[in-house]
Amino acid sequence: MATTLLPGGALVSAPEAPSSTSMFLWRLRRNPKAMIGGTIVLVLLLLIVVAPLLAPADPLDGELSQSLIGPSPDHLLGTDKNGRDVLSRLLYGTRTAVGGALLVVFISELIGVPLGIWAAYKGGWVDEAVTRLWDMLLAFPPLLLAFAVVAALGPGLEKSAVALGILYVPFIARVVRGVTLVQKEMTYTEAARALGYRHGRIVFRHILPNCLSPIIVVTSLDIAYAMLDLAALSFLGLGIQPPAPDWGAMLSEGQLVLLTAPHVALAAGAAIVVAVLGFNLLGDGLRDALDPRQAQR
Amino acid sequence: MARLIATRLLTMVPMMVLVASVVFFLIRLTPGDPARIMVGGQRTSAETLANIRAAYNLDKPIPVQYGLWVGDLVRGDLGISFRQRTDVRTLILERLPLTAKLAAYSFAISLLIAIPLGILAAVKRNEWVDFVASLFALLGASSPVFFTAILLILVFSYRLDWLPALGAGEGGVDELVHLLLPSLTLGVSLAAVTTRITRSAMVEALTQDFIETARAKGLSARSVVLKHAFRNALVPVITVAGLQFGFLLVGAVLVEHTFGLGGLGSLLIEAVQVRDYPVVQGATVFIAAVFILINLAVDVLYGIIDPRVRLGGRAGA
Amino acid sequence: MTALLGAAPLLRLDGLKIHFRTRGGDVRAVDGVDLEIRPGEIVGLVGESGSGKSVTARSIMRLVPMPPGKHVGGRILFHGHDLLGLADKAMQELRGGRIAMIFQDPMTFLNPLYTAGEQVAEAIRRHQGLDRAAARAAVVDLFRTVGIPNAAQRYDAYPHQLSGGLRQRVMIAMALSSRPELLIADEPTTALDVTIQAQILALLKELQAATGMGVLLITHDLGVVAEMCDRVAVMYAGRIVEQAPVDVLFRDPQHPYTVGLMNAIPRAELAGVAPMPIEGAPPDMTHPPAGCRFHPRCPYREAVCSEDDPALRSVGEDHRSACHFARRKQFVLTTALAEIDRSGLATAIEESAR
Repeated sequence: MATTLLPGGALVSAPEAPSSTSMFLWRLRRNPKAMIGGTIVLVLLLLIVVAPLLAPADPLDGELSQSLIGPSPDHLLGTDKNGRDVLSRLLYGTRTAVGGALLVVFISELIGVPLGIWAAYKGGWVDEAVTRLWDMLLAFPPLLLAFAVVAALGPGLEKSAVALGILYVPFIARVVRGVTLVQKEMTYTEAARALGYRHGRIVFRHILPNCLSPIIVVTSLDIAYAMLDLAALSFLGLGIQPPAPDWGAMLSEGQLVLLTAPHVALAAGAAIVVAVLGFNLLGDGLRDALDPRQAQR
Repeated sequence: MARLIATRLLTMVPMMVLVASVVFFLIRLTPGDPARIMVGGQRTSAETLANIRAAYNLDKPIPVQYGLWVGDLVRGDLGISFRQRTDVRTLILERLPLTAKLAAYSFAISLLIAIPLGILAAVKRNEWVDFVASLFALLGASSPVFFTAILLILVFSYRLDWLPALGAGEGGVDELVHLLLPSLTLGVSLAAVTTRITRSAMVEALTQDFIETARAKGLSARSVVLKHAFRNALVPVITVAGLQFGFLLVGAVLVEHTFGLGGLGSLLIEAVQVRDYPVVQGATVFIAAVFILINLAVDVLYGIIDPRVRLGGRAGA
Repeated sequence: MTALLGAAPLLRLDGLKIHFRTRGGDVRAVDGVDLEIRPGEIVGLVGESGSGKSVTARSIMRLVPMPPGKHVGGRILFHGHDLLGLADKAMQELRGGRIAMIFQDPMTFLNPLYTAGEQVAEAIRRHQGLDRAAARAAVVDLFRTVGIPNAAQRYDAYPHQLSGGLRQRVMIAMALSSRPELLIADEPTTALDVTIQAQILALLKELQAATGMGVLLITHDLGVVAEMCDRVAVMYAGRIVEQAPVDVLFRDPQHPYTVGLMNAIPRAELAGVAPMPIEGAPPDMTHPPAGCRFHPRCPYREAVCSEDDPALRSVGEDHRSACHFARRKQFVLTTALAEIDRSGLATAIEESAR
């Protein structure tokens, strides 16, 4: 936003010229995908914190006599084969599903963002070598290599998350590298270098801020992918181990009792679909709002 | 064309080396004694363990093991399964046909859904067909393939009782019937992404100038769309369809597990669950090789579709 | 001049209005165009970019996508029949048959995935029902007619393997393949090098003379108009503002916009006479100015111009102008195009036409 220095010395923002940020927010508010996705994501993030307050029962404790009861006033989404309340397990499941995916993406960005900037900034053979390596990695579905990791390290949420996090590095690094390359060529960065700014300053003042919006888009979409991959691992019994409440594991248990009690699988599956859809919609919506010309298509 | 194929075959080599090495070192450099894993945690004498180590070269230093493994790999020898005490290559070849059929059916189904739907959505942009296609693409991309499987089982096996929900059948028609639901599951999941790409590639192609020329020639809307626009949209569609093949292989793993099919995917998952390293390594490297070959085929297809790739010359424009 | 005065028009646009629906309101791209093309005549349609020339051309072929375009009023009469009332099927029959079109950029307007020959053969097979072999022979003949060397080999060349000039010749071959009665050429030389431009124009003129077809030539280049056309229509902000035989227009322009266009031409051979671009910019066509649309930029404007919208009226034989002050004020021409030596273009055309 344009700011002016008044004679008195006060900084005043000029409201008449809409900044790119406010244009972006305006477009975002008019984008139904972003709004629906954003709402789902907000609710999910909130659930991570408040799941214990909302859950009607202990997610780990059930009475076997109450096994596989369909939805009822006592158990809104019914019970599983151990008599545990499905709704409570779903609510707690947000923690591993969304939290695990956040961890995956956090790890990938912790490595990928500096790597992308470094490759673009260094250029030359460093750039060449790094991009070649991740192009090869990108060619393989992360889940396939994650199987090998689990085979080596054994099952578990943290291990799967770390493995997927590393395998997700190219997704973000590629985007950051692209933005950095553009910024590097931009005149003001050149000017900054001519003025003798240190590299660190150029990176933090010019490059990182410009990477921010593409990073946010990729983050949202990667979280969706990570949730699917983590759910797949736990569905196969390679992720988080029972009795922890997890959507993928619940789906796997639900499949065993599908004929008699489909509500277990349906509830868990619906939870995954809605959560993944939320992050996908948010990512799509953000991208449309950031790049309206592309969105016209 | 031949040169294109040759160069692409050459680039396969470093990729295969990379995958093989990653898989090998990942497994060997992690704590845990493979020999103990092999005996399944039972109490055994030190002597038996030593024998096992010797039999599987586990007593040698890791670089030597790596060298031996790569040497075997080059000769097509994938080692012996810890658990089943069988040649890994034999295991893979036994399980391959089922997975290949599943993959082929799924791929065909996905194209049969995605291409007409994507074209229709692009032609009738912003009309209801387009909305339905977008919704399908979004939901398909957001539903894990094993949940799609469960939904289809609930509807087609349990509710309607049309199709079997488990197993691979007894060969022939029975096998085809058994594979229908798994293929549909995987096909629908694949179609989600392909529909989206087909739509956007067609929208892009339909705004090209030469579409106007085609219409100015007096061609019917049908030939304009199918002959002029679609052929131009094919390059991005094939790129994605090729990339989708990676997803197809992983999806096949999940679908086989869900439907209880004894294909390559089940072999891999069983091996991962019991840490049968030679099988994990062998199956992963094998799947990677198939994947790379598919990518090669995609590159060759580009050349067939686009004369600018085949004959060289100015790209773009 | 091959055109017969008073001959029944081949094409008549009668108050044609084509608007485009956008978020910011309707864009009045074509807003009441009256235009006539007689058999055997080359009519130039000139104006700045955005004046609605191309939309006019495309609407004759019914190539304007609807929506977002919509037909608001007027008629397109081809031999007296309204094309807008024609069924899609019948219109397809006409397109590339009795009415053909060539476009600006022969690179992007040819499909990169088919050979030049295939693309022309497609048109021939569509309209003449020839089989593959006959169509191929016909294409090779056409290629020779339009001056493509090694015509037989060029059949199998892809667009990216041809030069810009050859590509445009392919486009012309395609358009002429069914011997159209009307050819619409939308800036056919704008994307080409100057020397190639002259060759292509010469070819068009030669082919027109040989076939006797009517041509609507859309261009923003008055030099091209001077060399090629029998009559000219000047378009501004979605309307025709002046229409006259070409020599009349250049000798005696009766609309300030036409005068402005002529004064804006940079002329190297007239040292000391600086080109004078028309001040201001074409109007926003969602909200065109009231009264005469040109009045905000017009040096001759008076009060009436912002209130009263002038209709196209006769100001001489076959000469019409939409200005309140046509024949009532003296419009100052800094360079009379009719008198100056149009050497560059003229010689080039003569040389290549030889």
